[in-house]
Amino acid sequence: MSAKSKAPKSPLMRESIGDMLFPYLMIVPAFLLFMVFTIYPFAFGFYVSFHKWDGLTAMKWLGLRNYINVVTDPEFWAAMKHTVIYALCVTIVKNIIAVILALFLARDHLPGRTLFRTATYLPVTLSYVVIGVLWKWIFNPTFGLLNPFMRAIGLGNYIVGWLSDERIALYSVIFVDIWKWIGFHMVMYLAGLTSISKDYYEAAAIDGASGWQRFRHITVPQLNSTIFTNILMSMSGAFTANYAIVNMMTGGGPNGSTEVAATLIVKTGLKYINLGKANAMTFVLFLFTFAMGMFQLKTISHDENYE
Amino acid sequence: MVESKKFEVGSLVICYIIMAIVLVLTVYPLLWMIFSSCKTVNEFYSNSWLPPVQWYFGNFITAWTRAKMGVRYLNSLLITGTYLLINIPVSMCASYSFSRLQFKGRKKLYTAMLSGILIPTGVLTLPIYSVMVNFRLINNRIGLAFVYAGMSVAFSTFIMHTFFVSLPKGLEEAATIDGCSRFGAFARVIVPLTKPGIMILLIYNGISNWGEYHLASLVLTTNAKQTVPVGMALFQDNQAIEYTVLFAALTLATVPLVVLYVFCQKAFITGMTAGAVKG
Amino acid sequence: MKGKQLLALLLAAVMMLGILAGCGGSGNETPAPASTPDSSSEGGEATNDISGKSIILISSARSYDGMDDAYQAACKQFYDETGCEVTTQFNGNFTELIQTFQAAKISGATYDMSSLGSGNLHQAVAKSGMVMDITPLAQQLKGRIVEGGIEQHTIDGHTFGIPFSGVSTMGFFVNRTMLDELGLDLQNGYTYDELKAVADAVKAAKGFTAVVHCGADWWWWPSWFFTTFAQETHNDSINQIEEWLKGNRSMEQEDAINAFNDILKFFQDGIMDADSLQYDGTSVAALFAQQKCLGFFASATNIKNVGDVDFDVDYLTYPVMVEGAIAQSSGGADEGINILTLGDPANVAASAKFIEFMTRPEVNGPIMQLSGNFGYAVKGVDGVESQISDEAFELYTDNTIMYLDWFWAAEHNDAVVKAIQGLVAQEIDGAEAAKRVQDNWQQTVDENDYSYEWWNSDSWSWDAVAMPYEVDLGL
Repeated sequence: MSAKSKAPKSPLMRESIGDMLFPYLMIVPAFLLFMVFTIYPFAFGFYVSFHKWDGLTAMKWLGLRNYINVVTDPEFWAAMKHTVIYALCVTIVKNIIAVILALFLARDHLPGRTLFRTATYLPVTLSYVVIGVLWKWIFNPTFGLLNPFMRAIGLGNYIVGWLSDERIALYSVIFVDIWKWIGFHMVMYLAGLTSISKDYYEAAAIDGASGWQRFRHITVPQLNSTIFTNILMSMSGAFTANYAIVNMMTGGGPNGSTEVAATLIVKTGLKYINLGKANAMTFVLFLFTFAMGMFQLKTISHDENYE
Repeated sequence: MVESKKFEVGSLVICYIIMAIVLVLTVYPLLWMIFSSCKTVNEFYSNSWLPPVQWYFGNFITAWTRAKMGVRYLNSLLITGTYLLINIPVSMCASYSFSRLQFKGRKKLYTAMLSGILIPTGVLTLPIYSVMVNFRLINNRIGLAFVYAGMSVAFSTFIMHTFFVSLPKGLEEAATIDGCSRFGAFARVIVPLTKPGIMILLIYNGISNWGEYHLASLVLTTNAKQTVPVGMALFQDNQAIEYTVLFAALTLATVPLVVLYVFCQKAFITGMTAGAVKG
Repeated sequence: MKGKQLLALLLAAVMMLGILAGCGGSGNETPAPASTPDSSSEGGEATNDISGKSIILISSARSYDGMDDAYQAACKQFYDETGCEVTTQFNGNFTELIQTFQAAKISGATYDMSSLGSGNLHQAVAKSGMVMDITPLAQQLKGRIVEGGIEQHTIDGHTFGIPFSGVSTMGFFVNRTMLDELGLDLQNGYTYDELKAVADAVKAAKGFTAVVHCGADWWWWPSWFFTTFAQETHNDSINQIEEWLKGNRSMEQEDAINAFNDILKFFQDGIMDADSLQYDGTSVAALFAQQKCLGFFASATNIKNVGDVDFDVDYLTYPVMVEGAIAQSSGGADEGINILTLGDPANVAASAKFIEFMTRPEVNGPIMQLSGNFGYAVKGVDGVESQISDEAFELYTDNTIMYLDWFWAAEHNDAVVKAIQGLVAQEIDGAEAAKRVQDNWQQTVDENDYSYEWWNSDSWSWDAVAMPYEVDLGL
């Protein structure tokens, strides 16, 4: 029993104050950790964004200069463009394929289902170092697997510089990102699918609804929360969390064609040691992701919690 | 009826073909990594893609001793274990509250936490480091676990939300009528029903945390306290990467995760199907 | 009242959290050394007795097998000799070393020494005031270091580090046996046209591109510019780059544009191709070992990745592309050992003595030779036996100039990398490449107040980083 339910004075009081405080008490530990280790660093970073700082000498006040530099920097906008392409491709492909795969696996009797589910999740367990090294090797022009394979199945003419061609490199990285995370999204969708009551489907079948109609009118609405979660995760991941994978595979090259917001921020902050500008970029990026997140909230999610 | 049967078989075949392709795409790379770690350098270049002609296990010994894997494993276990022990209960309590309880300011507070996921974390290492300095958590493994928990609490809360929301409404009332306290209703009735969510958190957070490098390398300054990813840096010279040894080290680092995942899977399955039956 | 009780409980919980965090876990060590400040830390007399002192040396992880242990053995030997304990903290990649410094600044850690690459020193750490000006020590140790080594860690006449590790350079490694088989020849001093003829013959006979480069490791690309620019300026490149950084000349001048175009030529003429963008050091070594290329341009240490091969390996300089110019390659004595201003002044004598200790060939050799380099900064430490001849080796050291990326800022370096990658893909030409680099320089000046001679600014004081007292190394 929790220590929170201490004996109060009167039965009426027992209900109201304990009940009133209970929800708050439940969120306090999480919120505390959140404030200290997520919000405070972010706020500190925001403060730094108005200064010139190298982390070694004293800070120098710059006002809005960093922000002006960021907004007028073509490199920043190029990175944002790459990031948006990355986000769109990754979100659309991951979610569609994950749903399809989850639908396959949600069937009742399917031999090999466990093996398949375990296998698709394996890439999620691999670290970025493994994935980066592995795929760089697969794409290697001489020692790699992809080119000989393509020649073997007669597609030799379509061989391009997977990581060396400016036009292709970004999509190669996107492909690897999708490869890594499909299993995760599939598992989320699978969990969502199995929690939908069979009664709905039976009732619909009796009413003569086709497979597609059942999907559209039962599955999708029931999965709404799952869909929203997955979409938000894939989109926000493409904005904020793809540093490791891009860095391992291409370091932002060739010629900046795979530079995304996350890698540019880390590069500006830790390599060019321009922490002020990097934090300004972080904040501008955050405004983007926040707007995007809120937009998705309003349009996709039908959760009463958010309205 | 014949029509639908054909459709059934047809779609089943397609199903299996797709599954086979996905299987190869996902399992082969892992096998390749393991094969490569059992080859000598020469064979690695001459026979890149097939199982080794001659199995060579020297790389594992090199990796283990050079990276002092034994100690690193223990440290990683300690940190990731503590991290999960803090992160999961804390996030679950918060997520439950946001998802199923009514209170003033709920929406605002939840949106605030949600925005935590949208914060790009790239350059936050330094501010987080200064916070840790203020709390005197440098070179302190448990402290680091707390920090990790704080950094991912928003995300975990967000993930669990889906699961809490999908449960039917009246469950708590039924429990409290039976004499349970509110917390008891949460702990004994609601939580078991969200096992799939817990599994997802365990696996996803556990794996991300196991592989965390930047903060760990900055904060854990003495060799005796360092984690596995920090040890990997030893094999990546800026002149050349010793692939076979690196892969051996990575295999040693990854295989426990895969094993953990396979075990969690079992609990996962029972959790998911249980939910379906109840629904 | 229940509310108050709960609030009190809450407060207690929060405090517990803080206290738990503060003293939880196994040990709460901070990186500060247990230094016992000597009561007479001012005088010269006390500096001779350093027993009982404890100093810390920080740097990036030692990635060579056995090097960590070798360092520990040396530290133990030092302790036996002087009674001073040296602890090493080798963490992370060399690119992350600056973050270690930033973290040290925040946590107030008192590290005593570090070992920094010349690049890091020039670009960020020297101007932070965290490294001590050890010119007096350098003067005493001058005789032990190869010529030019100390200059590479000296800024405006003040020395910040004593090089004590390997000396690197770059060149063209070629499969001599393959050349002989095809009836071709290349000797040092060869011209670009000769190389082109050879490359064409190799392509015709063997079907592959003659020269490869470890371009996936993007940090190697600027080295092409170093050499072509050296030739285009008739071997005055370092001076020209300094003028450029100071703003006295533009990158968009003929010599630089030609230098970029020279790089482009390799690709236009098929001597190299864009696949090099995907090869890393190990791929290149493998290609060479399996005789899938004629040769590769790389650092001398890359040849050791090639391992034992059954053909003759030869070392050549870059081709001569400008008449009358000497083909120079870039290199230098990279890692230097430094004393930090972060540490306790009383430990400076101990640190100085440790530096003296580490620059003795008999101590330095067993540690540094584990990297398998061809040359070392400390005289008397022999380079590793290799497939290249002694004559070639001399050529290697005679025509090496300092890496340019030790002068310019990280932003400028990235701009050069990207420009060259554009040239490799034949997407842009030399003029465009020069323009981009110039624009980038301008941006660093406009946005960041970049100034090459940062030591001339008002906020910098040489006194602040001077040694607190004299240390006589007794040499």
